[in-house]
Amino acid sequence: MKKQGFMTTGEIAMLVGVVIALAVWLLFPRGTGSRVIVTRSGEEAGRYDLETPAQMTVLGANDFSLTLVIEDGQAHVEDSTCPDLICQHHAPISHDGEAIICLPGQVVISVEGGRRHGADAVSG
Amino acid sequence: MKRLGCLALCLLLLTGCAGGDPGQTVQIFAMDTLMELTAYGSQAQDALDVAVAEVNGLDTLLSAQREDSEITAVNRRGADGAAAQVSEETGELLTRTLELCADTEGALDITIHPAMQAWGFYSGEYRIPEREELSRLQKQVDYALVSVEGTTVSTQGQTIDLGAVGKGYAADRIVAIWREMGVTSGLLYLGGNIHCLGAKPDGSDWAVSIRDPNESNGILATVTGRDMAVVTSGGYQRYFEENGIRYHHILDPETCVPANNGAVSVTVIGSSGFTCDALSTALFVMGLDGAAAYWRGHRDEFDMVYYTEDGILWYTSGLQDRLELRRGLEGRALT
Repeated sequence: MKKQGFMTTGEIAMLVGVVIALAVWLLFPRGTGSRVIVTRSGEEAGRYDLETPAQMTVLGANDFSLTLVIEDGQAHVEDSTCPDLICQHHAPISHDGEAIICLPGQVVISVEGGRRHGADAVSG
Repeated sequence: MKRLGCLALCLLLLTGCAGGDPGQTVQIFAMDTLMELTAYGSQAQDALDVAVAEVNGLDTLLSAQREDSEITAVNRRGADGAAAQVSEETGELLTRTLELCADTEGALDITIHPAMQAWGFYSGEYRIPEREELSRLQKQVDYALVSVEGTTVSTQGQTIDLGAVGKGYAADRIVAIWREMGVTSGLLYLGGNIHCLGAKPDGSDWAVSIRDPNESNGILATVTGRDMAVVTSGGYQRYFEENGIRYHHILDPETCVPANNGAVSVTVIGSSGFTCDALSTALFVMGLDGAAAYWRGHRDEFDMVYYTEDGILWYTSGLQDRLELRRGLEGRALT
């Protein structure tokens, strides 16, 4: 009677596949794949790679506009025509879930993917 | 073959762990702020549609900045010395809010509207009112001169702004509607007000952080729980600077100038969004000692996190086991 091997060829191939998938999942830098999502009045207006430097003008509601800059894996508002300039003064964002909000222009710039702060939401 | 099945099961479990119910989210601008509503479960999309309609409906009823709102009608009629008729919902909300104004001895005052207007916090055209103007405003701001009988609202020339309770009330309404629909898990962000419905979809507690006003992306602490509102008021949220002095939007109803009692931010945690919203403003105005005294008389109704200008984070004893402070931050318990 032929003794059965420890694993068949198919099982070994599958195990190798699982190990490679796990290695990629664990070792690949988490920041990669982060996107900057821009919405205007609740509708998505653009989606950009956080790792690719870019500068663009975002037209908001009520004739306000702002300049969005993506560099060094972060996004920030360089300048804005809105009256309160809270968006312009906001620190650069880079973590999953962080957002810069321009209320007068109804523009939201948020980061999706990559590293995340621990909480489900932030009050304040 | 059995072993192959085991491997496949492992893979399925792995993908299962990475997945879960992502929920459905909608983003809207209403009540003069950004709102992000997330519902989980099979009815998520219907729940969001109903919630958006509810928020827009409340905005129409309650906004002091909308020409067509019931509150604007009350303010117009009041200026002419006449009473106004409102819906039952607005009447009940006004009654509840006036009760809280009295309970906080005027630290919350819904007639602060003309003072907010004078400082330019509605229009963004900021200015510092002169002493005489402030003196006139101080006489005009008085919630006790507003009377609500059922659906009839009369004032003695006062004008009303429900901005201190509107978002909290809206959160309560959405949560009540979602519960009726059978939604058991949801997360509301209403312009910095957080309201968690039930537990997270995986059954664990929600974690809500409190923003550090001194660091744009920093946090002071994180509170965990379920079925809770977490509402923060802080002078950093809206302000202007003139000659190097910062003037923020939380006005002390007694003086009609920005409250200056040593508070940086106040976070109120409880089951009612309405109460948490109203109290976050009132407790900020009271200062730490007044807020602690108020809490001691209402400790079953809410907890609070009080961040003072000297960099100390005060928290009430009900949060002892569910508040995690940022490393290095000095925390002191209020008992």
